[in-house]
Amino acid sequence: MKILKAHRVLLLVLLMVGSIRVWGQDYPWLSHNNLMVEARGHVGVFWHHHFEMQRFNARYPAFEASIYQSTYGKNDWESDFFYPYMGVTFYYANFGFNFENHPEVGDALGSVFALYPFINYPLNPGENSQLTFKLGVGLGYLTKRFHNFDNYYNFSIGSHLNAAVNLSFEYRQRFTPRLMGVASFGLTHFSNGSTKLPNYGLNTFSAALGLAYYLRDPRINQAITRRPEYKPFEFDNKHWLSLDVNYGIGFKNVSQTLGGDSTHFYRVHDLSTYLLAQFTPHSRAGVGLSLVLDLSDDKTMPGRDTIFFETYQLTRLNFNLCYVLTMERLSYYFEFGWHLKYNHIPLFKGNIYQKVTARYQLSDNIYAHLGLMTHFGRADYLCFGLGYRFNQKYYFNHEKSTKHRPPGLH
Amino acid sequence: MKRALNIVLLVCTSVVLGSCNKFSNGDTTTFPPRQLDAPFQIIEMRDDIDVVLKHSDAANPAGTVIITTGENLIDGISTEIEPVTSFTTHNGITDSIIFNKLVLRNNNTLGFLRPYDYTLEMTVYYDTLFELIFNSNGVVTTDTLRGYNHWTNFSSLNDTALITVDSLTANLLIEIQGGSGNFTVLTNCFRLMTHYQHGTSDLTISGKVVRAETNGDYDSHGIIDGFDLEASSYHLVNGYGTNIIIAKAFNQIIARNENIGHIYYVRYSKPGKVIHWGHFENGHWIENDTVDTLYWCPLSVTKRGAYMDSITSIRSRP
Repeated sequence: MKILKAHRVLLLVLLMVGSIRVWGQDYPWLSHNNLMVEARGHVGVFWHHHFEMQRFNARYPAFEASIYQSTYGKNDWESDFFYPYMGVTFYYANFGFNFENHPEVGDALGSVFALYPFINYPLNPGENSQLTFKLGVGLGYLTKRFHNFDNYYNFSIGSHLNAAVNLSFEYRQRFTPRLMGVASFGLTHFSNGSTKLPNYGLNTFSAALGLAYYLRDPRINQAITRRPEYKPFEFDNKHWLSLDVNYGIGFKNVSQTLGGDSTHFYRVHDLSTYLLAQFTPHSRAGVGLSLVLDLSDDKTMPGRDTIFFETYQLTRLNFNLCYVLTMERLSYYFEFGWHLKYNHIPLFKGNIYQKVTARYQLSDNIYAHLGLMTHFGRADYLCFGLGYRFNQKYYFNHEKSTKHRPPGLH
Repeated sequence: MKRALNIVLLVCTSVVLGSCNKFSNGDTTTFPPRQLDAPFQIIEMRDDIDVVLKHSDAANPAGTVIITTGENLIDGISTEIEPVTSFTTHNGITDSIIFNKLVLRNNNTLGFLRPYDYTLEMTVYYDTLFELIFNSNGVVTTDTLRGYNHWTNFSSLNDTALITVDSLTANLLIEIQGGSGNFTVLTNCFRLMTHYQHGTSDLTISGKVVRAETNGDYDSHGIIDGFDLEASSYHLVNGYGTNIIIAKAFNQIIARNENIGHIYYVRYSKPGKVIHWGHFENGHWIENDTVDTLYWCPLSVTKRGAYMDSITSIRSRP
């Protein structure tokens, strides 16, 4: 009898504890994070920037599903960018299922599965209708790749695993407080960053329609004015000049096009420095210099049979103009640069390049980076590494006279 | 106001998207022949045009071009003749002469707004041809090209002391500069030179020549199938690409393979002499005098799998 009573007490305690766990800690996780789900259907066309790949011109369907957070101003930068959406997208396209029924497209290009995190910037502050720009970078698996005998028509894709990049403009229309319609037009790019050649990359343009849905009632955005307005007398208009020095390393395999050991990767060394000035809370710009030693150049350079170089002579000196967009610890570097002729090495890749780099600030001075060097859309190398930033505060002359002046003393 | 703006935006989008239906290729039609106003000795094929090359006859004189395509595409199809200067140097004397090159182009743009399935065929009647330049994604076929002895056009070579075998005979130069088409060339001339620079095109050559020279550059990815080309004197093969080159000769094959492509040869009917020089970095060279011709079949996309099986079986022989 006592045992039965003890059981009842224990059961009562468990129920109470369970109740406390379930209801006592009611953490509205879904609504707190403003989560949304979205499904979208695409109609895509290829945009082959190599003539040979135009034999695969076709239209094809694609599908994507996303889960993401609609930011609401938890961090200051979110309100500055009109509360962007951040999340992850799963993308699937069967290039062979084209509307013109060309089976050779599927035989050569296969299909793709991609998963990429993204950030979607509203371009206007509208609540019911918005134009947005989506930027996503992740990984894609393409089922078909180049093979010099079995699939040589496809020299856009050199490996199964590739980077997946999505850039698209979207129009979002709110139908109900929780339901949105989405129409988009954008570019999706797949390439392995020339880690395994050949790698001309696969580009597709697609138009899409979809629906997005808040899993809970959306939060009200915290006002931009939450941040105190800076006045000359309380903010000294300091500017930061930074000198970044970083080293990156990349790898290239050329065995599929030029022979050699299929497990051997040529190294690419990239030593870069940037002098940058800040001109808005999120933007910096400046100039940079870099030294790049791509050891695969010795293999891929035209005329390599007749011209011989020492390894150091393969080093290139580059100059670039750089723009930086910063969101807290994460920064995007956009470079437009020139290879300066160096040691009479023929500039067979062209003398103008573009480079996109994502950086994450590990501390005030140390950062990690991942960069992609391209020549007008054709990837040259992918590199990653660490860097150090020297920060220097400075003032313009006319600002120095007003800094830290209390009101009423001007 | 916002609602009105949205409606305007929606209407504009609908109009733009709706107008895409007007981008059609039109009905496929065979148009009246174009007559070119100058003779040509070189022909360059670009874009995605399917071309048939035929020797001129009484009904179709040289320079006749018959085009079959959609009504909305015909205005963008150009058949222009461009001058090309050719040089030669003998005994320190440089001489030049201007030849005419017929360039076939499809200049139509915004193709992604039209159906991709369309017909674009061209039949070109020629008199003399000594150079074919392929930069095309189309399908090209020829009748028997007999080449052309273009050396006789150089006045500096009229000196009988300079006459060589080459200067007395007809040559044919095939140059693949790019593209991913399928080219089938039939020839019967003295010397055939094939230079595959770039692309993924498949080239099939057949016929009879005395000398054949086949070069596949680093960016040559498509197959050069010379199984039905009989070179009675020699066949010189340089393989720098990743592709398959098939060569055949009665007498002699000189070959080097400097890449991961494969060069296959077949000796025909009588013993030949094989010399290879250079190095074979990661390449393959089959020196097997008893290659069974049953293993060799005309290549096509559908047969490639069976073909590769046969290659494997050859490789696996002790």
